[in-house]
Amino acid sequence: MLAATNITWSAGGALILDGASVQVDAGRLVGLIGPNGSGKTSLLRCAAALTAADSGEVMLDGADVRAMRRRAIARRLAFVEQDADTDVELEVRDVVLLGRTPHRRAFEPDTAEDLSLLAVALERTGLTGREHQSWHTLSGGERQRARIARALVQQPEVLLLDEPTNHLDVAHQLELLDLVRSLELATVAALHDLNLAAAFCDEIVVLAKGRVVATGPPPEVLTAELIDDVYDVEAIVGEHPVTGRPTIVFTPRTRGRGRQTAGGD
Amino acid sequence: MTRGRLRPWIPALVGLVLALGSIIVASAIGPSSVGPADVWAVVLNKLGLASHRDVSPIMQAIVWDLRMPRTVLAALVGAGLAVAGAVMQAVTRNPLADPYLLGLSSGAALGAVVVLVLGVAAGSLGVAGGAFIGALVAFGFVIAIAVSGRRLDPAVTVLAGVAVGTICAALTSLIVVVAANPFKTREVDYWLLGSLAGTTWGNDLVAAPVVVACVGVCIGCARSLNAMAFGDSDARALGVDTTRLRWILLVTCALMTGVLVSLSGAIGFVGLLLPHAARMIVGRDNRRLLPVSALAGAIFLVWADTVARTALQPREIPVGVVTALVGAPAFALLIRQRRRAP
Repeated sequence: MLAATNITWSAGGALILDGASVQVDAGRLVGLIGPNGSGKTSLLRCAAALTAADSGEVMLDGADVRAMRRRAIARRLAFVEQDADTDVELEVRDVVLLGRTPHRRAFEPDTAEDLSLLAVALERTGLTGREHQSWHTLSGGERQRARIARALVQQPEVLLLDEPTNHLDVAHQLELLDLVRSLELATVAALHDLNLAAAFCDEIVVLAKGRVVATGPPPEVLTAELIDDVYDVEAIVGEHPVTGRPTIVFTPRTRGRGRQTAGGD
Repeated sequence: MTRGRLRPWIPALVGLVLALGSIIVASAIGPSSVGPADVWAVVLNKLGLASHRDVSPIMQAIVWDLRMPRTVLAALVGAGLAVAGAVMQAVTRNPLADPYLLGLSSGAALGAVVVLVLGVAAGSLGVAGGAFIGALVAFGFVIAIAVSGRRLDPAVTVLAGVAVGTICAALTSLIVVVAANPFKTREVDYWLLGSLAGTTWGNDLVAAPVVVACVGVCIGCARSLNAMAFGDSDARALGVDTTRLRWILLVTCALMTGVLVSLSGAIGFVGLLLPHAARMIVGRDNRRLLPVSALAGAIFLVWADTVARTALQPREIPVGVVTALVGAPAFALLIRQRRRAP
């Protein structure tokens, strides 16, 4: 469905992405993990065609995004940015209905279809009854859910999420990723929480310094060795007693075995 | 802040009725007494929709040849400036933006002064032509400074507008001082403050198609403009080509403002005040905000001009003085009443 291949991108003289690739098919949830500054957001932005890669190609449904109009891309692909905010006084409803922008022409009013999509999206994100609440009075988690609702009314085939569980408490984190899975879209989510990635993703792509260092199902990728390599953190990987998915617990360095730090990078 | 949700067309309809009513009633006000009904009769006569024999030719001439062209132009200028202001505020994400932000009024003033005081091309261009060219040349300089690649950065555009505007204003003062002709200086002053005196139907015939077309383009872009609320990148993720949208809207507003300034002088405060007032009535959705801004601007300027030509009869106050005297306190009140910064 979406394939970003061999993406290279540099900004301000620094190489941010160095031949990174990610691809996702319909109904699959791919987790993009990696330390801060590893290029997760940049790779998502290149895959969404919001940033033009220096080299590499992005194919959406078999078509090169460079040859597509923005509107055509937006009808198929929704991108939920991290921490998006606005100075404009908007209600939840206004924010969510912005998702209909690529589907409507100039002078065309909101249709009954738009309003029913709005109602469904609000319900799925637990925001029913909040549609007239001001965006500025929402908590971080509610904003995140409103942004997901906006992506839903956009009716995309591909959903790109940058840290979607940021600002959410544990119940809402689980709820949101359950929701994302149930949509059965082609989804790529940049995630910080390795346990969430392990619990929900079909496939994990690990980025480090702009390169993909591992790709595969969570049990194959999320090993103590990889976590040590990529994050420089000691971890014990077990198996969740109910789901059978990997679970990761970290060992604080102060209690650790006195690792050498010299020459570490 | 979001009244008018259920029946979004109501504010626009009320505005339209009030705007047309204002044109009729304001055309009845003046030194010689004419009733609104007489104005209505003259309009019907002239449009060939009915014939009222009881309207005297003199009254006909006063209403149709003197007052109506002026009130209609006031409505057109008010509508155009208010929409240009609302659009500039959205495009630059700056609540203080107004139609003159891109150096347009200072450029127009410089162009007008070059023709008026220096007498350059006075025969071929006229003061209005000079003003129009001045406005567009200033706009050209602002864009040349602000553009990088194909992109226009909103903040840089605002700063470039300030720079070009300052240069134009300085040159205008220099020319006026050097030329030092008291009569011309007075004429320049009037022009700088804005005045609708001496309007003919010919002016309306220039303004009307430009305002209708440009306001139409802006309203057509309203949905895309809404999508820019969360920033450019987010708007692009929603399928909006933000670079193209900015170009279309800036050029449209520059053209419209250039034409209006060349006809009426630089009337201040309409483009700043009315979009904020309209926002309080219909909220932030540009699809509703732009039409209502247009109508509010039309109504406001029709009445401001009526005050300008009647308050100190037989002398005229420049209409820009009235809009500033009424507009600035109203603006201050408006800001106080808002919970959040615009």
